[in-house]
Amino acid sequence: MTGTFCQIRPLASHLRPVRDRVGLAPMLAALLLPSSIAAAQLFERATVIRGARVVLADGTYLDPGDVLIKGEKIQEVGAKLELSFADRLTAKTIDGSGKTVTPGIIDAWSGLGRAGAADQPDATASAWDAFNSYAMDDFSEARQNGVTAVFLSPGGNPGIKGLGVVVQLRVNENGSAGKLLAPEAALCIDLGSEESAIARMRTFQSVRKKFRAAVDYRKSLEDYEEELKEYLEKLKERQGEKQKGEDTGKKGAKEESPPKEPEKEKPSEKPEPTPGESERSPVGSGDFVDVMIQAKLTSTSADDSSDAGAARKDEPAPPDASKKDGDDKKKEDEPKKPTKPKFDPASEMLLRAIDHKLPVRIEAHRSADILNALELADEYNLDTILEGGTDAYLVANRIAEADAPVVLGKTTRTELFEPNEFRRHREENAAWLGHWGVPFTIGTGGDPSAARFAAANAQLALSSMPIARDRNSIAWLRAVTSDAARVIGVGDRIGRLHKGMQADVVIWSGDPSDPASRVEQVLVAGKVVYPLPEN
Amino acid sequence: MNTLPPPLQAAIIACIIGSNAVAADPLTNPNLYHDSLLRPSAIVAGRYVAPDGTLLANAAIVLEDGKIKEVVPAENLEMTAGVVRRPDGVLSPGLIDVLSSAGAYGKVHESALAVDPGVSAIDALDPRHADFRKAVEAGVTTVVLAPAPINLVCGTGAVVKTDMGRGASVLRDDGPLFLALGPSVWQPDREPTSRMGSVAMLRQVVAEAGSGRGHRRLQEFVAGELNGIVLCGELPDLSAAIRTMGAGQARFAVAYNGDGLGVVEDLAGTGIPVILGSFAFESTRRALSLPAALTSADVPVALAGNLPAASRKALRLSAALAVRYGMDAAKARQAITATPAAVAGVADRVGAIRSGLDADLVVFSDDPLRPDAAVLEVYINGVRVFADADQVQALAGDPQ
Repeated sequence: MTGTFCQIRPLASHLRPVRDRVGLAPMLAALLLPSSIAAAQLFERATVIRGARVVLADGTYLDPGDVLIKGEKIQEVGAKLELSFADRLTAKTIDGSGKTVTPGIIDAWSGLGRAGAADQPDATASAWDAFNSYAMDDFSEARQNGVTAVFLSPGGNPGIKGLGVVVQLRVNENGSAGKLLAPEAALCIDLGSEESAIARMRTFQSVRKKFRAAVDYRKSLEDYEEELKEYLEKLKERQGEKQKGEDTGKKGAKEESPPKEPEKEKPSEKPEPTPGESERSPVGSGDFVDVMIQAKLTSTSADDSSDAGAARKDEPAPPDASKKDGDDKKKEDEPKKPTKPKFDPASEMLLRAIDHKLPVRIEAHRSADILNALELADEYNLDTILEGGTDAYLVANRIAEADAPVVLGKTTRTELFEPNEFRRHREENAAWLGHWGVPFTIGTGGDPSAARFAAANAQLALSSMPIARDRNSIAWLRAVTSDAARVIGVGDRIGRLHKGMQADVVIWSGDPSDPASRVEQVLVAGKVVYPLPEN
Repeated sequence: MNTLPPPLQAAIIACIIGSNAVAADPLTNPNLYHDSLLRPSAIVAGRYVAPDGTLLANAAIVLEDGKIKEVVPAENLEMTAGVVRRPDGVLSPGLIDVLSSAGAYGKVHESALAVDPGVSAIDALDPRHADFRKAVEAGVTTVVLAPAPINLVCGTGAVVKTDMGRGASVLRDDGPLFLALGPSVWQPDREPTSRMGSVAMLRQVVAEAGSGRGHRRLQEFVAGELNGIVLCGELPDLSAAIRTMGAGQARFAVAYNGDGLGVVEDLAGTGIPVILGSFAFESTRRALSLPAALTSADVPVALAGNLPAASRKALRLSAALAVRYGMDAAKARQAITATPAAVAGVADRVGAIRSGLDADLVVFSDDPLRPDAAVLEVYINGVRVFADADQVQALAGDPQ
């Protein structure tokens, strides 16, 4: 019964009080069609926007064009769409004449709804955990300005900060906002450009150390597997020997229990030090000289890690050692079972980044930090996205070589001298990146109150770009829709008005570049979220 | 890939870091003196901002001796020599930042005396300050250098053009008179120390000046001969200013950067203009809704740019955000040109494209309200002081 109820719900207004629908839905289902599934397919009420100026993915206009939305997705975009019989009967038509239809605006670097930040950076943290889905005023104002999705980075102190997420600004059944569109959009790292030179060195060093530790961790896991195999073989061998001995002597191998699956065993009493953490790092306590030495070590010796691996290999008593003293007691002769390295979730996370399963998004503002970020990316062959990039225009050629997209932040800053990471801020930054062929998008820099102006911010950022001079160009719109979606990794679901994409659609009263144009309606996942219908 | 030899890169970077305006500056690039378009005899633009703030099509602005001689339909323009044609551009009066500290060298206040009408902001002005170039790049041709709101009577502001250093372009060196009310005025080491105290003191100062005592500037202000701007920290301060001086002869505007909608009640029907902003992406919804609410109640609204504390684009962005939150577009264009000119007391010189006014003009790539519109050319007193072509050239990687 609940199935029926859910399937047919799009037919009734989703805001009608629940008790009305409970009675109505099964009745309709029973009346109209025998199968509720068929009913859902046929009667999923479509929405069609007719005769509007539709902005296509390549930045051109389809004028007049229609957009057919069914369920959460865009069914079709085209001129004078032919609807199916059922749709023609039931579709809700929005007259788009004189209006412009664009994809929903995406804030590719947002703080919208962020309700807190961790003190200590933690690779396993998720920005979603700090998302306040009940910040109603913020969401409604964001939607009112056409924003339908945001990328949230975890806040907090510099370092490896955890997972960034993409949130689609849906209105949920319970009135809360937001649906997680990409729970693992990127692993966010902040190189702490706002800090002193020494603190920045330390931050970069600690980030790098963690990546090395992750590589060591993998090595230790692989070694463990190998040792385990050896151990099992040895055991089998010994078992065979014993069997022989016992066959000649007396029987009764009861005391010798067969080897169990080592995974099920408890972890050994004395846990091994986490690779890289206490074992080989004097840096944690933060002595500057140590940092320097460590930096030197890390940057010069590539074979360092294999050393560490070798050292680790030796640590659990090697099986060969016990072989020699064959005439000793049996117990000492026993092959020692290798200890499984302790599970390290942070390293696991970094390994996923190293394995290209997770892009890495590095916040870096000063040119030196940007170069450091590129170096880290090069060292571990990471899929890198640069965040911030205040000085990016100074090293644009290097960024272009590394082929790393850049997410720029807020365009406007004070003209007074700022002795911080924004010291060299220039509004022409985006233009320069464009000139060097660096793919970029523009967010609002993680400021919760600025998220609603993602569009205006992008307009400002691109006003210095010659392409923006073309009155028909909508370069800024592309930057905050399709480009933004691609950079934050959801380009296959949002950011374009195209068949099969999520129906995140903004209907403007006129040219979206003109501040006098109003946002008339916003649909997220096919549902109207602005203006919200009155109950 | 996209690699240029390092020296060339360095040249480009030096070019962008140094200044894009360098190439356009006749002082440093004498070649530009020979450009006849440096002092055009007419500018033809696709659209222009009319004195009422609306956009009209196809006008030719005829210039003479640094002034606007007349505005004629483009097809009626007879001359051909020295005509700048920007058919894709929108010609606007130079923008006016009515509350700025651009060009200030050091602080713009005396902190010893609460009532200090003898102080003049022009004395803190550095005519070659880099702020002016930033202003020009953003299309701002006139700024009011305002004293900081530390004292009850802060002294006079200076109204200057942003081509300072090239010629005598001080529009007013002695006015408007700035007064301030609000928490920034209350100092622990001198009176007033509270809101009550500051309003009482203001009342006394006004009464004294009205009876012919006190500083000459205060007497002129109270008599309505010297206009003023009252910087109000919070809504009760704004109410107090109107209560204390609204009924008298004094001509003044109030500046307010809060978000109380009560301002509308206080100001409707008084004819007192209000200066709001500057706005930024952080401004609250209520603050952004104020310009629309006030203009609907027929209160003249000027928007401030707060250069250099705010971005050089803050003035235009303030207007754009105000329009986004309901302000009429024509009123918004006036709010960054004609209205601030009136508030600063220089409406007979700048602030509109009208015959007889100074030829301070900006060619935008589109409606100046659009945040993505670029500044293409800037003229002050009929002389081109900025051309975007140089910027475009720099962007194209040309070291020239």
